[in-house]
Amino acid sequence: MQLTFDHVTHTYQPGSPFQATAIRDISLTIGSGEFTALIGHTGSGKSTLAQHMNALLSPTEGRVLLDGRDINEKGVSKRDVRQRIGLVFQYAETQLFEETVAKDVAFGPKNLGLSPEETDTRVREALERVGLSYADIAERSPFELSGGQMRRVAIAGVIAMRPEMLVLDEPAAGLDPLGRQEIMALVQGFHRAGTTVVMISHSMDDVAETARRIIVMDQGKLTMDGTPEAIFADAERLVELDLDVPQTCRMSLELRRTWPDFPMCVRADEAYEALLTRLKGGKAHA
Amino acid sequence: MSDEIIVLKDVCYKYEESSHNAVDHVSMTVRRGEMTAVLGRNGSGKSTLVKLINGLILPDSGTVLTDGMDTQDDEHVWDIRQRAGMVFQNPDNQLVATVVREDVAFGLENTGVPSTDMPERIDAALKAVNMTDFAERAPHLLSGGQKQRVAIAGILAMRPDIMLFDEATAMLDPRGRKEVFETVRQLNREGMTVVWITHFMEEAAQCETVHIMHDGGLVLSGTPQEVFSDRERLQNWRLDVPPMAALAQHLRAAGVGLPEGILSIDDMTREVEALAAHL
Repeated sequence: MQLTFDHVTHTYQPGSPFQATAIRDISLTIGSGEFTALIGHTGSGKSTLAQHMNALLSPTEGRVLLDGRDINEKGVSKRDVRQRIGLVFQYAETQLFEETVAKDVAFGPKNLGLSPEETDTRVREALERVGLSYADIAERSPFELSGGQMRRVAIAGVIAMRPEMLVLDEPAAGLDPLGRQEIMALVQGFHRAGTTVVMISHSMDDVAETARRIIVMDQGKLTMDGTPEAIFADAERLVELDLDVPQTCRMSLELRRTWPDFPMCVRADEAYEALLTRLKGGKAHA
Repeated sequence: MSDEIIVLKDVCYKYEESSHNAVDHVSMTVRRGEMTAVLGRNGSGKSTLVKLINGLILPDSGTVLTDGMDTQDDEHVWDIRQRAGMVFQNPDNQLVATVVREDVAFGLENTGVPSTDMPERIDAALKAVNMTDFAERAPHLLSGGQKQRVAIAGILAMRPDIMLFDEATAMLDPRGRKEVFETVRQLNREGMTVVWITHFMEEAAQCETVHIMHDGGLVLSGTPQEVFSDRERLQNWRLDVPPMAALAQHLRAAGVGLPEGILSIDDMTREVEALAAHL
């Protein structure tokens, strides 16, 4: 699977007094098996970009290609595109609507025209994959669940389509610290199982721990694109854009006052190793 | 004036549709001028707690004294709401007017402040949140952080003694979060008593006192250093320690002589530099 943006621009309400260009001349390719984080301020165009990935929005200029084919072309089934590329919205639980969890998760597969048996298989599988017990939860109302559980049910609804690629808009927003860690572990699990992941996040600590590629958006433009190591090596640039960097990166910058050659530590385990080396002179694991 | 501006004595509150107490036998105090964080998993009773403090809801049993006034006492209802203002999570649900200045005026108009006093109060409130330049703008065109600061100004104009924040930064990006948190810290430095509900451990680490709610009960109170000293205990309540505290704990476990109480990047670099000086 390969998803390509070819000079994509999107302008909301063109020709009206409210005309606003949300993304401008974006070109990028996302390949199978990638884990890409999309970062930038509110209003930088991240969500607009994400909504082009499964044809919820179509470009004002440029094209979005899935395996070389323009997904907005006549004759391309949007349903197929959305089955292959699943989009999980921010605060996705606000979109739950069915009487039971099982019905809610079944909504997508049923619309694909799958048989009741196949739909049921998908629902069981999807709930299990988001860490919920089918036996305990399937017949309950989604609205009596906790916030974190509702979020998982919403994700299960997308997973039940067995997408090749998942696009998640701030999947952990508003959750308590363990809820956040659990959702991040789930997303990492999807990735390990072979799903291509694109994740919008404001949490640089989460991004640093999970993503293998980071795309930085600023004022509708793609301004940086690289590995976490490459992006955060330029921590000063991110600070200039008034973006956050992981705490371990800020710590690394500070510690360069003492050790000018202190490495840029992107993840907590790197910071641990680097400090252990400096302070104990080696990897003195107990 | 008592030094204890908020006092809860064995307070219980149950929502009608629920089978258990949302707030369950909670006793706590907040000192005047203190910045207090309240942590707890989703659904632990934090929001119910602050609604009890400003009398939006009344306890089923026990007593809530806000600035010395019993919230059950009918004649104090409006006084309490004026003295303990509340800022909520979603900035878009809190702004009502089409111009920032009018939004800040909204609360004042509803409390019968003489109109001659209003301009001065509004200007002071906007200045305190650093939004003077936006007074004539339309609120819906502001960023999330700016909207929250306008919401704060609207409360400030009522000249409260206490401000209650219910996850006021949860829906903001890091820039907006910092803007709002710094604004509130500044208000606190100038004397405002603040109760700050949050899921961000780094924010709690910068408060003077941290309270932890779990299943409606108050399970732990202390300084950030005390509360964040035991990661496992916090994880049992679905919380965590700030990232630097976790890193320090790992390093200590490996025999590095870092002291307890490291919570921030500043703490960490200071202690690491001190250790390095003796290598």
